[in-house]
Order: sequence, then C-alpha cells, then structure tokens
Amino acid sequence: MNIASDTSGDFYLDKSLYSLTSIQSTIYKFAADFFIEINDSDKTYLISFKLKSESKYASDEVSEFKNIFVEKLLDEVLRERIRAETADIRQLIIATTFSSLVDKSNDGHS
Amino acid sequence: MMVIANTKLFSSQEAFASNDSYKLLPFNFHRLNNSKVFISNIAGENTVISEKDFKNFCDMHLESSSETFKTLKSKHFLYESDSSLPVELLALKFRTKMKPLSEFTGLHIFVNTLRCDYTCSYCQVSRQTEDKDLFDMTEEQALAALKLVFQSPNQNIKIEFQGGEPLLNFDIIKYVVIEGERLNQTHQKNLQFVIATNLSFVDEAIIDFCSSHDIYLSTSIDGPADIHNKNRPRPGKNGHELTKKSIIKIQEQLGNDRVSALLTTTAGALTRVEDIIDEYLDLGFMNIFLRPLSPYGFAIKTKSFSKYKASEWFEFYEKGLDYIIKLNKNGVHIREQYASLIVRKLLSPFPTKYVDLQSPAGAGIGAVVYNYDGKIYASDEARMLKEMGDDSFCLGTVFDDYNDIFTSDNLINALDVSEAHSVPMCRDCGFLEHCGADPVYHVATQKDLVGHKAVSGFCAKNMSIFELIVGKLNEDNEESMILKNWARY
Repeated sequence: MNIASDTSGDFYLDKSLYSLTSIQSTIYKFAADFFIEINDSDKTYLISFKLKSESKYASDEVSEFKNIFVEKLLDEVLRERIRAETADIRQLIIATTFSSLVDKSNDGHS
Repeated sequence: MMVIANTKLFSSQEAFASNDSYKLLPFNFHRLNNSKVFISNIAGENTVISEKDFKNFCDMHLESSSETFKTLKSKHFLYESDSSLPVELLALKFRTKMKPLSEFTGLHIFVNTLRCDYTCSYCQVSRQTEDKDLFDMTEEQALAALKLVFQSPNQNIKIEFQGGEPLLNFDIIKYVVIEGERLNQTHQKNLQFVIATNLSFVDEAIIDFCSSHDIYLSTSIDGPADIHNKNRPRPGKNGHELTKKSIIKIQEQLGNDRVSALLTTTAGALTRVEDIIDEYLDLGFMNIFLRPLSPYGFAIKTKSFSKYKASEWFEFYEKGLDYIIKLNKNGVHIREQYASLIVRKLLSPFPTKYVDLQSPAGAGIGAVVYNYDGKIYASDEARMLKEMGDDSFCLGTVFDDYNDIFTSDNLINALDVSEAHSVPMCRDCGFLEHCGADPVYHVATQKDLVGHKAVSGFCAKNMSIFELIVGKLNEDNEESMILKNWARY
C-alpha cells in the first residue's frame, strides 16, 4: 500500500479474488469516513482513498486502511456468495408467501 | 520429548470435509463486538452464534450433532433435504410478518389547529400563535376527513388530535368524537381517541368529556422543572407546574392509564437522564420513551437538531437504559419504550404499530395526517416537512377520493423506492427485518427518499440500539430477563 500522506493513500486488489460488486458495496459503507475512488488496472483494481475531516478514524489508522478495508470486503464477498447460493430458494419462498393472495377468480377468462 | 497422553492435537480429516447434508436458506448477518455474529432471516427469526460456528456454518462444516446446528435448523437458516417444509414454514412466517400491510391505515392524525400557547425552540410543526381562521380545521373539513377514516380497511382505528395545541380548538375535537361515534354505529370498528396536548387548557368540562368518550391524553414532559421550562417556554414560565397539576388531576379522575407522556431530548438534557427518569417515576409513569430530536420545523430553524451528535444521544440512551434496568432489579418496573419495541420485534412474530420501524415505510399506510388546512400528509413528519416548505408528501385533500389519495404517486413512489429490501446497505444488514425505511427523515436530512445510509442519522441511531439490545438479550443474566419481559408490551 502507498501512503501519500497522513490522510490518503492507495492499494491494489486482485480482480481474481474480489468482484467489483463486493468492492463497491464496501466502498459505500466507508462513505462516512473516506473519499474512495476505484480504477480498473489490468488484473487489479486500484483503490485510492482520502480520510474525511469528519471521519471517526484517526490519521494513524490510515496506514492500516487496506487491512480494515479487506476485512469488510471479505464479508461482502461472503454476502455475495450467500445471495447467489440462496437466490432460487429465496424466490420460491417469496412466491409461496404471496401465491395464496393472488386472485384466482380470473383463471380461464383471459 | 514431552508426550501428551490421550490428547488429540489435530481433528481427523473428516472434520474438514464439507457437510453435504445441509443447504443454506437466505439470511443476513451482522458482526457484533464480542466475537459473535447476529444472523436473521426473511421472517425476522434470529440468533447469535460464535464467529467460529458462523464460519463453519457458511463453509458447510457445521456438525449436524451440534447445538448450533439444531438452533439454525429450527430457526430456518439451513435445511437438510429436498423437503418443501422449510419453504412452506418460512413463507407462512413471512406472510404473518407482512400481515399489517393488508390491514392498512390504523392511525389517523387530525391536526385540528396549528395555534399553540407554547413557543418551544424544537417545535417540529412550526406552531402559529395568531389568526384562528387561518390555522384551525373547520367542521366541513373534519367531516370529510372522518368519512375517509372509515373507508380504511383496518378494523382498529385510532384518531389522534395533534396541534399546535389541539385543546385550543376543542369544539372540533368534540365534533369529530361525536360524529365519529355516530358513523361507527354503522362501521363497527374498534375506535379509540387520543389527544396529544400540553394540558394547559384542561378543565373539568374537558375531563368529563374525555371520561364520557374514553379518550386518552398524551402530553410532553421533558424532565424536571428546570429542563422542561427551558425547553418549553410559555407565558408565565409555569409549563411544568401546569402540566404536572393536570396530569395528577387526570390520573385521579380518569385513572393512571389514561394519561401518558413523551420526552424530547435537547442538548441541555444529555447529562441528566437519571433526573429525567426519576421525574417520570415521580409523576407515576412506568414507561418512558428516550427520544432524540427530529430534524423538522423549529428544531432545524433554531439549530436545536444540530446541537448534539447521534453518538452523544446514544450515550444518553445507553446510560438511561442501564439506569432503568437497575431500577427494575430493585423492583421498580419502569420500561423504556423504544427498547420494548425492539425486543418485541426480535423475540416475537407480532408486529408493532410504530410507523418509523416499518418497511415498506408506515407513511400513509400505517398512519396518515389530516392537516388543519384540509390537506392530507403521509405522516406526522411529512406535515412537519410541509411547514418547512417541502410539500412532496402531500397526498391530496380531505375532499378527494379515497382511492386517489392512497394510490397517489407521491405515496406509492416514496414507499416503493425506500423499501429497505432493495436499498443499498439495508438489503445486506443483519437488522433488515427489524428496522424500517423512513423516506421522510431522509428527505429532511439528505433531500433524498432513500438517503445514503452510511451517513444516515436514522441508520446510525438504530444500528447502535440494535447492537446494544441484542448484546444485552444474549447475556445469561437478570438484565436479559428484564428485557425479555418487555416483549409483552
């Protein structure tokens, strides 16, 4: 990780390990504390960040930001995996939930 | 070389193999600060497990003989076969959770006047002190609003009078109550009336009327006299004394349960939570709602809202809740209302009627406001926003058609876009099924129906409180038992 100053820096993330969706979800969650930019760079994403003045993070934590970010990112990766694995059954649950509410009185009249 | 007899240094290879006997059901999770993870499913069922169990569960390594496995199976976080039973049970529970939507609007707020004798700096509705004709609801408007009330499919109807100070237009209250009871002879609903009042103008005639028509009274107490009178100035500077006298009179003549009080927390009160709770006890209230300021009306104009941060209010809340629990341990059974709501949401399938913690939002479909000028707003906060010049939650007027009002674009769009299951950050949140969408709050603070949740005060407040309550509930101690008892309310 490059530390440009007490409040900013950048680091790379391997595209084969982390999806863009997961990275974007993680960036969203840090929006109260950091300005974060993402750039596509061949096999990696370049993540550039700058501490916001109203951030709850201290400037001495900036050097640890990649670790903090990746820790949250791994949860986003897990959420993405759970969502994918359970997508079909989730649809089935919702369909079953509301199927009894569908007005069947028009069946055969279309 | 040291030999450790009969000690297994490594688990067998089988222990690292996937457990193919189960599959995951949809769930969200939230990591707590104590190496534990809160998980919840679509029906709101939830549990707290260790990080180790959580990792094993997600990696399909959870031992089927373990207690955690049994808990996760019984609460529908995993299933073992191709049986359709888990789907049917989850669907049934999800439908039960969603049932209040079919009941539609239960709370109908009549703003029968905007006039008020108080000049509170945090007033959310921008009260008026002059011109009766401009700021009072008329009989014609009230009757039209009543006809809309009885078109609601909800069998349980609560009509709440708010202001300004509603008792300054008591004639309209009498008219609505008497006419409402007459209309209800046909509709046969469970009809209840509440007056939200500062109690300045309560006299024998008003108490008699409330007694005859089973009307409840809700007032404001901000704490001991010094805090209350500073927050809520009125001519004579005797607001606390007047309110206290009226509370005692109502309790003596109508009963303790017929009057309740609401607290609004200002910056000056942040260090006084114990004094405030003691004041409530002194007045005979066994229930207190530790509420922060809302971002509307004079609270914004006078900068009261920005005088403290969400984190400062949370410290106040946490200290207050601890004090209330300590009182309970000593046999004083006072409750904190917001904690009660959350405990009930976490531990039971039963809905609460609190419109701020609902998704789709309770605006319009949980509560609706008939304003003094005949306009209809999607919530109490929405008419507060209107007084700040933003009319975006106006649904029409009391003279419009019921279906046009409740299918208006202003309402449907707000409910649709703010629905938490499709909102960034909310959709992944472990507390999704217990929290709510509050489009009016986010319009007021971020000029956006959804709002950026990472900077949302609504999210920060609720996330902190959920973590606090879940943490306390999952301890095996007296504190946890006290909180669990509150689920009954």
